[in-house]
Amino acid sequence: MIAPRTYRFRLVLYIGVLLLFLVAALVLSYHSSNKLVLKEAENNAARLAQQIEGQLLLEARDLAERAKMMRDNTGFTGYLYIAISLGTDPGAMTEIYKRQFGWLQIDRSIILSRSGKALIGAQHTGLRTALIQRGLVKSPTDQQFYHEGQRGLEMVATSPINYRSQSLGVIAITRTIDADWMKVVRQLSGGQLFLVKDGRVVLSTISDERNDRSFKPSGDRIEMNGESYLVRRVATGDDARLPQLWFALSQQELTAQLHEQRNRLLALVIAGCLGGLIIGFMMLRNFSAPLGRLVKLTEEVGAGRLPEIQRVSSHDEIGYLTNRFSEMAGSLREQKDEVKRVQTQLEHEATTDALTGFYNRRYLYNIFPKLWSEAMRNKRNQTLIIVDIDHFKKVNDRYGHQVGDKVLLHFASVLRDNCRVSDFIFRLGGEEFLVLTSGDSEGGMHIAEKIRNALEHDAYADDERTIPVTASFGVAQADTVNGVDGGLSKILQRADKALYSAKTSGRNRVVVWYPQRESA
Amino acid sequence: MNNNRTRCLSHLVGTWLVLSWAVAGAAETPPTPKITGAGEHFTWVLLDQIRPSLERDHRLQLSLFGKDSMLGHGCNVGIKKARENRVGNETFGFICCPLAKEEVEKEGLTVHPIALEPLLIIVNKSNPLQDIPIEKVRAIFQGEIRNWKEVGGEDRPIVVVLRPHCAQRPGHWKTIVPTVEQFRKDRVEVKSEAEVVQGVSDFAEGIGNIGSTWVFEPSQKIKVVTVSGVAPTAENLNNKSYQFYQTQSIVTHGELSAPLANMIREVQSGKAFRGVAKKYELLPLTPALP
Repeated sequence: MIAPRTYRFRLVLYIGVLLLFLVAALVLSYHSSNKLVLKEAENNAARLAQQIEGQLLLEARDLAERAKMMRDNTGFTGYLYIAISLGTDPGAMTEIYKRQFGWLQIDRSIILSRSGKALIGAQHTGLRTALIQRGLVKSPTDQQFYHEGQRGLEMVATSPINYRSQSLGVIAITRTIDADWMKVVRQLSGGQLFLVKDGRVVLSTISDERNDRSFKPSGDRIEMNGESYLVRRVATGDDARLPQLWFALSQQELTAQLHEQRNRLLALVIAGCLGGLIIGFMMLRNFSAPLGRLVKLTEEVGAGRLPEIQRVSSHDEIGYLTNRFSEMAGSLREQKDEVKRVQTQLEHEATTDALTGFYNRRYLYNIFPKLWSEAMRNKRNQTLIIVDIDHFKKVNDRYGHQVGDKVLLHFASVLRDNCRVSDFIFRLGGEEFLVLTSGDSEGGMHIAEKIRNALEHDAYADDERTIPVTASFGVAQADTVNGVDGGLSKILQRADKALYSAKTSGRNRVVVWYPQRESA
Repeated sequence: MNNNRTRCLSHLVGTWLVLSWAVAGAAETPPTPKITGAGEHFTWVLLDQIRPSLERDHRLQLSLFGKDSMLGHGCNVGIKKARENRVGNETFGFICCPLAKEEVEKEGLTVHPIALEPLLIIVNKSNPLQDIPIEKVRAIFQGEIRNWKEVGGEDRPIVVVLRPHCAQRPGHWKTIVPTVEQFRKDRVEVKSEAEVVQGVSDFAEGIGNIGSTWVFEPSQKIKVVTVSGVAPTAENLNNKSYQFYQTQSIVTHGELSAPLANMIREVQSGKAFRGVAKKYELLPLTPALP
């Protein structure tokens, strides 16, 4: 399940919208393209028919230029003059025609003298008749017109031939709109061409067996052989007796092209959808999944855990971010350990005496309530032994503080050696120490006595001197069993009193405080 | 020390010998003179064929222009080229007709006659005639006879093909009909000799004239007829039994350099020229060199 408002959700959403858009575009194009194509085809048919008319005009102009070129060739007209005036064999005309104009692209040519005799192209009787009927033999001029030849409709260009101001006749050359010409135009335009005479097709670019069919358009459309065509007439003159040239766009062909186009579009959309899905999958895999892992890691870091994050080898942005995050988590872990170590050190320094390593007075006040509660739960006694080194001021005064510190260390050593492991030893300040031990005052007295005895027999000695060290001990018990209040200040006060008593009674001794003595 | 002196002396002598040999060699080999000639087609054929021997024997470079001479660009070009003759730019012209005395004097030219060239009377190959009497040839060209049947041929109109070149000069086609005006008017008039041949080849009824040095192409439908039973040969020219001819000449202007004078003498009377003259039935106008 993909949670909303996540990148993954948005990615899926975007891809979904994209696919939806593509499918919608496809569906829309399917519905609208038929009409669009047909409407465009109507415009196209008119435009293409005009282009064909333009092509015909160009070819007619070209043909007229060729006729003039022949007219202006003096060698040719010289021959013609002799041939006409002397009535020679037309072979000479044929020879010079081939030599001078054989390379020109002309379908038919005919040269008629003023008497109507054909000097070239005698076989083109129909064309000869047309020229005579148009009066071009008697009054030759530059003209262009269409004529129906055996091979189809042909455009004709005529030109008068003169020699030394003497009119010799007329030359006419033709370019036929035959099946080959129509085939070329068909390939260029994409439409069909029909040459129609008296409502029947005499020539077309459709296969030959369909020719000689009826051709009667209704408006701009015609149905032929079960096919529908958009048709436009191509202007080839006003003579209604001549075949007319029609340009036609087959609706079936257009539809087939449309279907082909649609299938291409469909293939494109499917490919686009597949591409989108693949890209989405790749993005989810390469983008969203690593982001999800990073989100989980941030949650763990937020919860105070600093897990080990494996570095990744990819060099993209996500890989970079993951590695930076891994480095950041590692750095945080190190800082956390350092803080912990410093904290431990500070705690240690705050609760111990730097010289002897014993706990200090502050720690006594921290630890005593806990120990006292524990002792109460276990119904045990707690006894305090306050120890004060005798005449320690004199040692400092006489030997200096360095020796004094050494004496203190020696004393601490003896003290540690003669206490139990479960006892707590504190340095209250200067030469005053405290031993907190579980048990009653009797036990405490024995421990104090043991220490005192050990001190008495273990003087401080170095290379230069031996200094006897003794101490006075004040012992006080705190227990609930006997109804004594366990407050530390009160117990300390009692122990102090006992110590004072030991001091005043000659030092190097142990004095125990008893409640009876207090009350007495 | 003596050895070094001897070596230096021998080097000096060697260098002097090489230099003197080179100078003497250069003096013995004069630069090859370049001579340019231009004019009408027929003499060009003659000169072009003997050019290798002229260049070899007279140590000169000969450039000739006139292969495709057109009407107005044949003998006239020859005269123009002759007038360009200068020291260091030696030129000459060649013409197919003797110049008028006035033209020679006016232009300051010198005419060096080479040979008489028979004018062939040519008809279409389809024409059955092999011979035409001389008076009938003239009548045909003048338009007095207009159908081949009048000279024993088929019932066809006669088509005269004419290139009326060098109309102001004597000789050539004037040996047939003296003036252009006397030729029949309804003729095929062309501008080059090639068109004369082509015209007679095109018209089955055609007749024309052409110099004997003309080389016919196999595809052309041409044949040469005799005139009054006389063939157009050098011998018949010499004995005056064949009366249609033109005169091939070289024309020069001003002082001639020795190489050019030698070359002209060789053309007029050399051995190579005699060979070509025999081939084309030309009648040399200068006695052969001994």
